[in-house]
Formats: sequence, structure tokens, C-alpha cells
Amino acid sequence: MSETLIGVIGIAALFFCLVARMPVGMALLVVGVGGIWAIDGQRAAIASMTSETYTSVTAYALSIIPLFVLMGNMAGAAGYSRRLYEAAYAWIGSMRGGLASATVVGCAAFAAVSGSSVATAVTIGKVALPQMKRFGYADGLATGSVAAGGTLGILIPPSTGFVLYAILTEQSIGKLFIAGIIPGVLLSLLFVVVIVAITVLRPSEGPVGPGTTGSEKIRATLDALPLICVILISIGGIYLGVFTPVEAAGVGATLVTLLALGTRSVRFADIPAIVLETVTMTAMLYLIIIGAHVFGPFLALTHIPETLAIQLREMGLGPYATLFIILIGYVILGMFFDGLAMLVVTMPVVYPIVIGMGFDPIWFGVFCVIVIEMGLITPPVGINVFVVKGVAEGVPMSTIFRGVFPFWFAMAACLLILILFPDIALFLPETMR
Amino acid sequence: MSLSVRILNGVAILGGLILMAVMLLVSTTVFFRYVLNQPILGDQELVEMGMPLVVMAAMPFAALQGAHIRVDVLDRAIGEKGRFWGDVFARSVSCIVLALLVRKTFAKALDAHKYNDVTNMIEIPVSIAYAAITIGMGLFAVVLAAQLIGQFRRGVAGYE
Repeated sequence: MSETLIGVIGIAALFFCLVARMPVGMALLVVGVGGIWAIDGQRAAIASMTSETYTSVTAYALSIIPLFVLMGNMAGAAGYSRRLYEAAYAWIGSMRGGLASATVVGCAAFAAVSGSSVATAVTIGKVALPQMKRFGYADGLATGSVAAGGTLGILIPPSTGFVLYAILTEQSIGKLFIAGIIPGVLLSLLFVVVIVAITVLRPSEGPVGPGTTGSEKIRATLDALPLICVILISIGGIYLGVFTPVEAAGVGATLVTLLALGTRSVRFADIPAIVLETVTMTAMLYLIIIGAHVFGPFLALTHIPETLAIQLREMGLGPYATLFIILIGYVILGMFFDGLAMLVVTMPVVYPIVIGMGFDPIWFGVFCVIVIEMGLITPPVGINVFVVKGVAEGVPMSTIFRGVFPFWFAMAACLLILILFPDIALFLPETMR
Repeated sequence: MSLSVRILNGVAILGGLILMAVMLLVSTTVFFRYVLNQPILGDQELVEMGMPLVVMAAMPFAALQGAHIRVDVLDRAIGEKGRFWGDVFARSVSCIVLALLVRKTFAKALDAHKYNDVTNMIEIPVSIAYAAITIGMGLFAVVLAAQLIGQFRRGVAGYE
């Protein structure tokens, strides 16, 4: 049996394992081991699994994952999401649709301490949704702005999406984080534009909220200032070359913890629940990383990625048509797959093709993360929609999906702008120290 | 909460506390480097050897909670029989692969201990990492086996 045929059978087996409800990380591990076993024998397969597991769990660079997750969970438990939301509300809440816009800005700010879209949607949603309900916002606009705003969690650094992409493609985590900043701000602005457009067309969906005085604006900003300082220190530290990304995560998590404990926003008794949530998510991400580290070499042994790359080049489609095909594939996969799982499963095949076409690897990382964001709000799976449904219990799923629909187009517009002006993602990383 | 669940819960929290120690170590390293102009010898090795403890302490607990990401979009379509036998397949195969991994990492831990394999700078025994993987993945397999037995006890009817 040829290696390529083994590879095709392996990919089919992977999909079978996923349908059979095997965790994604475990499915990658099982198929990777089985595939290497079929090509190079049992000894190589078990040796590869053992060494990849050891390398993954002892990798210094990967310690960034639990540290940033801890920082986000600590900030969420301390109620800093409320302070960020209130600061955003103080400045833009009195605009038409201002509560929804403040939700997006609050999500963008919280995304700078949280690497997870789900965590961002939940923490901001718990604060923002009751407020929007109180002021008579339409359910679709309210839930849509939270679900879409939450997706900023994996675009604005720190981001688990960028960390996984960096590991899979051996790119710099720091550069990817910094590359996500301007597209993250751009996407936030596009979301606000969508909200303004909706409320101009249908004013009853997002009534004007009560105005705030100058002193209220200053007080709300001062309340949010400590967390904003932590964000500036940790992300700014990476940009200025003061910290490595791991150090930025460690320092950021320490500062948020000290702040939370010092202001009694979190009690020592709350720590076990916070760390339990953190390590559970860590274990979940590491299982995917271990699986990807075994599945990747298996695919390389089958020569499938290079064969596909050669065939695509011979078809003469050109780089942008190829990118468009990949985009369509990702949008379809995103309808059914978890975003991070989609990234891990497809990257060994897609990355060599895209880089072979001359696209910048950092730029493609940003592109992939925005596509993953689209998947987070695309039916039928759209995990952020389910998360928001959990917070907004009385709102039907169909209303939430209708509500996120305009934001999906904002993401598509952001992708288009990114393709037309790649420097949006590449400018800041190129100026890093 | 049963005793076994409480034990796994406690082990995971212990892993979380080790993570907080790692967090403090990383911050202290930065403080020492910039303020005291004195790097901490072997700080990176401490993080590298601490992380297996963090990850593997939580691995069985995450399995117990069903926290590992699955693709559940076809769950309804395959029906209760499909879900039941899908889980039987997934858990059985996972147990076999984890058993192979655990057997090998156990041997590696023994070898590392026997030949005094240590890290370069501050000579932390690398057997610690292999032992953590052996125990964490071993407990992960035990959790899956217990879930497998549990699902056969409950039967196919009404299986979610």
C-alpha cells in the first residue's frame, strides 16, 4: 500500500473518529500513531508518540497558554469585565445603539486579557445583556453584539488561536500577537459600524441610553484603569521587547492576581475554583497540541501536503483563487468544526500550500483566526451563539443567529480589507524590537 | 461527589497551585533581571519541569468533566445507538493508545532515574516529567475505562 493511500485512509479514519465522538486531540493522536505504525512500524509510532508528548508538555513556549488563561479567568472572577464594560458605556453608551457598541468595545478590551472567545462572550454577556434588556434593546441586536464581540477574544492578543497557529507553523508567538492588534481594532470598528447602521435603519432596536456626566466618565475610566495598565504592560512589553511572550503572560497573570486579591475582588477561597477552570482548559488544549504533534509528522510521511500543493500549482489557479478556495473550505468546515480543532486538523495540509503561493505566514495566521471567528457564529454549530444562548435564556436560537448575521458580513469585510491591505497585519510586527 | 471524583478534583487543584507557583517564578525572574540585574539560574528549566505536573494533574479531571473538545454536530443524527457505540469505540481505542503511551513513558521514567538523566543547568531529574505523564495519562485511561463500564451498566436506552 502506498504512503499516500495510507494518508487518505488516515484522513477518513480521522473523520470517522470525530463522528464517533472521540475528543479531537485524542482522534489526532490515535490516527497519527496508527498511520506512523502503518508506514514505519510499531517502534517508530510509539517512540514518536512518547517523544512528542514529552516535548509538548515540557515546552517552555507553551507555558504561555495556562498563564494567559489564568490571567483571563482571574480578571473575569474579579469582575473586571464589568468595569471595562462600564468604562466603554460611559463614553459611547448615550449614542444610538450605544449599549451594543459599548458591549463590542468591552469585549475588545476584555479580549486583551483573555485568549478565549467563549470566555469573552460569557463574561461580557453576563454584564451587558441584562443592561440591554432593561433599556429595551431588540434581542437580536443585543445577543448578536455579544456573540460577535466575544469572537474578538481570539483575535486581540493574547489569543489561544495564535498560540496554536504558532506551534503548528513554527512562527513567532510574539509577532502573531502583535499582528492581531490592528485587525482586532479594525474588526471592532466594523462591528460598531454595523450596530450604528442597524439602529439608523431601525431606531427601535437600539434606543439611546441615558447620558453620563464628565465626572462619571472619569470615574468609570479610573475604575478600569488598573486592568488597562496590565494590558499595556503585558502586550506593550512584548511589542517593545521587554518581555518574551511567556514572561508577559506570567507578569500579566501575577499583576491581575495581586490586583484582584489586593482589592478583595477575589478572596483566597475563590482561588481553587479559578485554578480548576484554568487547568481544565489547559489540559483540553494540551491534548490537542499533543495530538497535532503526532498527526503532523504522519501527514508529512504520506506526502499528501506536498502532492496537493504541487497539484494546486499545476492547476494554475493563482494565489488569490487558491486562497479563496481555502477560505470557502474553512467557512464550510467552520459550520461544523470547533475553530481550534479545524486549525489543527487542516494546517499541516493548508499551510505549505499557502506559503508556497507566496503569502506571509504571519499574515496568514491573522487570516485564519478571523476565519475561525466567523465559524464561531456560523450556524448550525456556532459555539459563541450557544454560549450567549446560555446567558440569554429566554431568547430563541433563531433570533440570536439572525442577530449575528450582519456581524458575519463585517468579518467578511475585514478579511477583504486584510487581503487588499496586508500591511494592516504586518505593519506592527515589522516594527517590533 | 464520590471519593474518586474528589481525589481527581484535588489533584487538578494541586496542578493549578503549581501553575500559580510557575506564574510567580516567571514574574520573579523578570523582577530579578530588570531590578536586581541578576537572572535566576535555571528558571526556564523549573518552568519546563513544572508544566508536565500542571497539565497531567488536570488531564484525568478534564476527561471526567467531558471538557475535551469533541465534534458533536452529528450527535442527533446518529441516534442513541450511534452515540452509544461511538463512545464504546472512542473510549476503547483511546484506552489502548493511552496504555501504549503509559507503558513507554513508565519505561522512560525508570531509564531516566537509573541513568540519572537530569536537566542541564540545575540538574532536575527528567524522570519527574516522564512520571507525571505516566500517572496523568494512566489516570486518563482509567477514567475512560470507568466511563465505558458505566455506559454499559446504563444501557443504550436514552443514552446521551
